[in-house]
Amino acid sequence: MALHLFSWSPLRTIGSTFSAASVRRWNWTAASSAAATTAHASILNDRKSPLSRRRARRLFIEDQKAVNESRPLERFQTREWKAGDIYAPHDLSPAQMRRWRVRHSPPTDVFDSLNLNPLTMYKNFSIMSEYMTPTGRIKHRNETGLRPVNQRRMAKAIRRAVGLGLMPSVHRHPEILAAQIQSRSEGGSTY
Amino acid sequence: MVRVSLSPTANLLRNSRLFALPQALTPPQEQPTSRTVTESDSATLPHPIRAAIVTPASSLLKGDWGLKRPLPAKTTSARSSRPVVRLNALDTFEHTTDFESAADHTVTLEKFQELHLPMSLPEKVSYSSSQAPRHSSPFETRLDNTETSAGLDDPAAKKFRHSGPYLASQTEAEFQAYLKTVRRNKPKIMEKLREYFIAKRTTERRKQAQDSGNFEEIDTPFEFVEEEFQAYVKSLRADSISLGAVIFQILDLPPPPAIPSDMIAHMVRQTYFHPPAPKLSSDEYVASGPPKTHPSAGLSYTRSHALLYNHPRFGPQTYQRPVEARVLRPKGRFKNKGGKAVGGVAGIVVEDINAMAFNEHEGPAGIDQFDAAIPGGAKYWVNPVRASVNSHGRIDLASYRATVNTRAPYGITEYQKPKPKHVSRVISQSGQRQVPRLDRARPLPGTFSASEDLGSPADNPETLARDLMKSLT
Repeated sequence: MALHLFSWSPLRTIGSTFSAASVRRWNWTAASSAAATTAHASILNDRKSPLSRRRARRLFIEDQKAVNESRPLERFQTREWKAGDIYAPHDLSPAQMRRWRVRHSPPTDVFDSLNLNPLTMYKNFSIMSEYMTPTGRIKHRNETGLRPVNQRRMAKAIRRAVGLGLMPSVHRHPEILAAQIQSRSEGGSTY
Repeated sequence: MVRVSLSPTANLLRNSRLFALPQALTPPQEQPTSRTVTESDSATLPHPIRAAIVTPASSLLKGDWGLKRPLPAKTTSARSSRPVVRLNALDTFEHTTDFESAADHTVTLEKFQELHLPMSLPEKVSYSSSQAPRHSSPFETRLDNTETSAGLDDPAAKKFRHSGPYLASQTEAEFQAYLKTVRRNKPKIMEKLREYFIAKRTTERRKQAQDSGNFEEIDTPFEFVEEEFQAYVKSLRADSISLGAVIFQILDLPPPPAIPSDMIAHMVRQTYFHPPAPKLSSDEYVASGPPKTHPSAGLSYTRSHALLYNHPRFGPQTYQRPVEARVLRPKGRFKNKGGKAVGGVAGIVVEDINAMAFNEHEGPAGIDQFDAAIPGGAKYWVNPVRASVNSHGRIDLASYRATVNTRAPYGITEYQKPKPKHVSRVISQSGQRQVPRLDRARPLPGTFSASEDLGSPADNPETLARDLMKSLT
């Protein structure tokens, strides 16, 4: 029995009750073995479920550990793949992924493509808020991508809206902030 | 007329392949936005915009590509056994030829053609049904028409191109520019409208004659009365339903996407001009605009998918040999909005449409969560079933995950993660040297076994010792 205690057993973890049963089984006669076997089996089946649960738990923890180890590396995959993109091996390289991380200003002037005059949009605080920082500063043309004339018009429209009291000067419009909070709570990324 | 004989220089230019190089297409445009964008100017474009050039081996040795100056061997023949280049600029201020390798697109084309897929007309792949839409070839005579094809005389004929622009995808500025060209061409358009008017009146007169049975005036030519025409134009202006049909026909505009409800058309009756029934070859073209290229984009010229893949041992197979897809973005990515995995088949990015469950434990390794431990990156086996080119010139590929049945004839198995070697705490503490075999059959519970070891009795030292003791006593 000394050997038995130290050898590997799938039942080892379930505690001392079963080992007591095992000892009893060892001493039983062969005549009562059939009944004892079924009793033994029923004990085993009862004890099996916490065991498998524990094993599943262990597997889950190991999985989570692997995921957590991979997560810092996943951050380096910066490209948002779209269906229909073509990729060659160099598109998976770190050099390309570094390029996809950089955020550029929009390449075209939106107001030109929409045929709108920003100055007439001064009452539209949701358009104005897109060209303001969260602290209310007018964004630079490096960020907005507007052509010089439209950038001047946009800046003037924001100043006009602030001056008229339509929009706060040190943060975005409260309605925009509320929409942001709601969007975040719903798990979206509109803002 | 006497044909002017060409000068030697003109003859040289006429026979020159360099001058036959086509103009570069415009690179694919993104929608105008007010947000910052992420892009890489050196990434592979979704479709090629410049011609790829090869040179015969004899010229390649000399670096001669038929351009203004030879190209260096270091970046062409020394780097690749089959160098293919594309030309950004024939000559620059620095007296260099600006070129780069075109292998990204040429090799993708080769890989695509190895899939043995015919090109289909685009169709919406619905996530709710597991069936891919039926294959319809763009090379059918009835569908393979442009606005100038002779085959359009057939009333059932469809076309994939109109001469007018797709108004629904235009920005306001583009639309204003188009309106300018229309206004400039007003005399021509009015001439077309006159022809339309004459044709309409002629058919009306014939129909009237058929109804009344009076065929006396049918042979007299139709005299055009300007006042009558002006009255017709006036009536068109008042009636948006009949004006819509006339506008779309005379300007040859592609039909706009269908409005979701008749109620909307009723509400905007003054500005909604009913288009005629669409004659585009695919419904997707009505929804997102006619294609920029031929619907096959020259990727494949086979018409049908009715090929039978014959396996040397197991005979004909429903599916051909599965291909390996790379997992480009696993499903459970931190910022993955779609919740779908994105894979790459033959260098083409494909959304994994087969995954229905968000958490997939039975799926291939690395598709659920990013796993850096898989050597070479996560991959899985797929059967591509349908390929088409959408109206933006991108390839839409649909693929099924390879099942056990499709993989079995080729002896392909999915990558299995190595099982972690788990050593029981009892063993690690006991100091026992021998680690018991875990993959043997377990003894039945309740059977006589003093030690609960999994090893077979034959090579278990403990059992051997006990047997020995028994036989001695």
